[in-house]
This record gives sequence, C-alpha cells and structure tokens, in this order.
Amino acid sequence: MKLVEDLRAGNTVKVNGNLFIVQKAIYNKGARGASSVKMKLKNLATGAMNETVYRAGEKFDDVVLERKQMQYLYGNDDFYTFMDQENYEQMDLTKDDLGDALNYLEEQMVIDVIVYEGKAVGVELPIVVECEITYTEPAVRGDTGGKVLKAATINTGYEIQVPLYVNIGDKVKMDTRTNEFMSRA
Amino acid sequence: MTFSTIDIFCNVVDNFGDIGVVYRFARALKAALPNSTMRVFVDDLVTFKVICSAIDPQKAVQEFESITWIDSSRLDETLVAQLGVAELVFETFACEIPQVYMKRAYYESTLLINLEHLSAEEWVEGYHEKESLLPEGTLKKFYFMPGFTERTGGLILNTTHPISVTTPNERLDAIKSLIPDQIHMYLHNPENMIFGSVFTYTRNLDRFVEDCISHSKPVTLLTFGQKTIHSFRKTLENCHLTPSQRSVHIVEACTIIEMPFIPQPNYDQLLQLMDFNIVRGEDSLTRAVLSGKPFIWNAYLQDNRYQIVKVEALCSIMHRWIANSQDFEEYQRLMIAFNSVPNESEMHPTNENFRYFLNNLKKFEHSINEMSYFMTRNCDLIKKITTFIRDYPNING
Repeated sequence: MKLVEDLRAGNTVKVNGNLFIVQKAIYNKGARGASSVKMKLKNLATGAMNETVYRAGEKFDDVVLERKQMQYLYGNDDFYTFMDQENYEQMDLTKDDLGDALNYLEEQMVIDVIVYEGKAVGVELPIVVECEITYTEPAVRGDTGGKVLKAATINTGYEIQVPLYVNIGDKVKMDTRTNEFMSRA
Repeated sequence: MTFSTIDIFCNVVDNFGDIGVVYRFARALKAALPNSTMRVFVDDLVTFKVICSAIDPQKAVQEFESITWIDSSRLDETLVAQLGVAELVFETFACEIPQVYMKRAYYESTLLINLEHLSAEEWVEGYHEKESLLPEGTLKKFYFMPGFTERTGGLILNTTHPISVTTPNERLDAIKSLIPDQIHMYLHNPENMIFGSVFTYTRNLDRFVEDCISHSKPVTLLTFGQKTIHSFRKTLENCHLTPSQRSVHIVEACTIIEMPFIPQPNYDQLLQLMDFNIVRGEDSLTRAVLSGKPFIWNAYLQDNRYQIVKVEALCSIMHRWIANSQDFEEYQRLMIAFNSVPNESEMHPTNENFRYFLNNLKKFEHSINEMSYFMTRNCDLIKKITTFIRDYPNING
C-alpha cells in the first residue's frame, strides 16, 4: 500500500480493479494542516483520463509494472521518442503520458519508461534531478538562508522557485515529487 | 437526478466549527430539498447540544427540524441494517464514515460528496467537483470545495433575512432583541457608540483593547466564546486592571461584555448590526463576509505559520472590493499581524495596529458590503450543490 501523498508521476495504482498510471500529482494544504492531493490518472485499460482528488493519508494498492531504462531522443508537441538502452528499440509517448515529467525531461536523459502489455505508458523520473539555471534575476549577496525564493528558468524552459543566492549557470538539485529546490548541485 | 434519501456525516473534531457548519448546512439543504428524507450522523451529541439545545445526547436516533439526528458513535451492523443507507451521502470535511455504513454504501448508495473546508486559496477552484475514485463498489465520490469565487462551491448563505435599521435607536433595539435581557442595561448611548463583536481563539488582545480605548468614540465589545473571554480577562490583568466579577468590564470608554451562547440565526443578524466584527474559524468568517460589515479574521493556527497563506489568499480575494491601495495595504497588514502568532496563547505579544481600521470603518463597510452582495448573488453553496446533484451524472468533474 502507498499513501496518496507519496504517489508521483509514473507510479501505477490499482483502484476498484482498474489499473491507473499517475500522470500528475499536486499537493495542497487544507484546513487544520490536512493536505489534499489532486492527481491526473490514466486508466491503462481504456486510456480514459481522470482528474481526481484525495485527502492525504488515503492508501492505494501500488502495482509495479515492467520498466525499461530508455534514453529520451527527441520530441515535439505530439510525440516524444525514447530508445531502449539494451536493444535500441524506439517507443513513443504522448505529452499526457509524460505528465509532470516533461518539466525536467532533457534530450539524452536516461530514465525509467513504464511498459504495460508491450506499450510504453509513462515514465518515472528519479526523485532528484539536476538542472541548469538558464535565467533568473541576479543573486542577492548575503542571503544564505534560502527562505526567500525567486523565479528561475531551467534548461527545459520550466520555471522553478530557487533561493535568492542562485545564479544563471548554476546547477541545482530539484525534488521531482514536489518541484521544490533542494540544494546547489 | 433526484435523491429521495440523504445522509450527512459529521465528526466533531474540536470546538464547534464542524458541527456548526453541518447544522447550518443540513437545515439549508433540507429547506432546498424538502421532499428528500434527511438524516445527520454526528459522533458527539454532547457538543452538538451546546449549539442546539433541543438535542438529547442520550438518544441514538431523534427527530428535530424535520431532520433525523443520529449518534454515529453507536452505529453497528444492527443499527445500519435497521436504518439502511441513503442514495446520496455527504461526508463533511473528509470525516471518516464508519466502515459498517460504507460497506453497504459502496454498493447501495449512488453518490458520495465530500464537503470540504472553506478556503480562499486559488487551488480550490481546481479541486472543486472533482471525482475521487473509491476502492470498491458502484458508488461515485466527488469533492465539493466551498470558496469565494464563482468557480468554487461558494458559501452557505444566511437563512435569516437581512436586518435593516435606519436610526441608532432602531439599531440598539434590534441588537437588544437578539441577546439576553440581562445584557440590555449595558447597551446605551447609541448615537455615539461603536459596536463590535469579538470571537477569537486564545490570543493576546492588549493592542486591540489599547486601540479601542484610544478611539475617538466609545466602543462596546460583545465577546463570544470561552477562549475570547479568557483572552480579554488576561488583557485586563496585563493592563493591571482587575477583571470584574460580573460579565461586563468597563475600561475608560471601552465596555467589554461577555456574551452567553446565542442561537446561530441571532449571531448572524447581530453581526449585521455591528460596526465591525472579529471572527474566527470558518463559519463565523462566512457570517462576517455576508454581514457586509468590516471584519478581521482570526484564522485557525497551522504548522509553519501556514495560516498566513490562508489569510493572504483571503486578502487577495478582498482586494477586488477594497480597491483603494492605502486601505488595502493597511487592512492586509492588520490581518497578517493579527494572525502572526506562533501558538494559541494569550502570552505572546502582538504588534497589530487597529487605528486605521477603526478610523475608517465606513469606508471598509462600503467595500465589504459590495463583497457580501457579490457572494450572495454568485456564490450560493446550496444552489450550487443542488444544481450539481440535479445534473448528476451529467457533470464535468
């Protein structure tokens, strides 16, 4: 069993006899410290998408599907192509299949592709990824606490929040579950 | 879809917040769907009795206001078999519905709606009316998120008619009609008096009382709830004043009156007759917004000062109506300062300044009145929920 707050893009769960792959998971704090989680789930049998909401603490049957180490080659708005590291076979995924993973996906990146009945159905990013800052306002000297954050763009074009001391060109470690800055790489 | 049977579940967590909202929600929903049989399952009837004196905590099942009230702590398979499950079930604030009930509801009920806590945060819109897949059965569950915008579940509106008074004496008479007789003798000087209601968590009120005392007009404060009354008594001690043995304390031109519990409809109307209100939690915040009178919100304290995020979100919504930048900045500053306390204690000093707020009550009243009008027209929770129910299963969740 897995708690809903521990689920992230690429995880597979079984609900009421149906298999779903998590494509997106967003956490929000509610009243009295209780969190809610909004997830985009894809039904692996029907392909139907569900936007669903749960209270933190709810449990899911997690299912481990076959996964292959594949390298991301290239993509456009419709398809994103990955290559199997062992047999060089290529598989395509859609933007929806990639979900939140798209934020950190870089060409040549090697990641786990989830395979169900011979078809690629999603990817699972590592919990921690390194990214390069391509734009942010200049660093503020003296701020080492890291409590105040500013916007920064990484090499995939995704905007993240980083401490004021981070500069263009810096490499940073990000938590892909929460999209939170962890440290400088 | 029409549902002939409706069950509402409520767990009393602390204070009277949950049961207060559920009591209000149940009566409003029953008024909107009079042909549906409604039952409310509450796990703590002793607490419920404080706000609804007609309830007998000894009874497992009782009828009141055309609603059946059931002590859910006594639910077992026999009682569930006897009562059956409803076609439409509400869980409030993600409370845990007893498994003996859910085991049947998964297969026999049609729709389960989780009525969530009220929040002004932006993310609420994205969660509203979204499905939550259940582990078994044919039952479908959806989240219903109250909020302050058209794209949320809105607010439970007042069931009483708005009170309209034109003269200070009329206002005084109206206030007196809503509160116990023994308080009446302390209410006077209506032409010149500023009336405020105060309902807070335990906190330091030194600065607030100082600002009331130094205000150009005399101020009468009607204080509600044990935590508020305790906080005021501590403030009087901090000011080296001995709290009166009676329920009224007079400090220069400021009169502090300790109020007994009054019925919900009276409280709702009383807020409309005040010059300002200080409210806490969820339900009284809603009443304050709908009163159209200036208010300060004491948010429920959360870890890592998360209550400030909630206060800022509310201020952000209110900016639409408090358009003047100085008014808004002063108001937001006061709201954040008032909620910037690390814990629920009367000991922690605060640095809020009420003077601008108290000196500009009429301006703020104009803004909050417009906000109230907007909420009443566009954010009627009962209307939204009955529309959702009527349209189910043809919804866009």
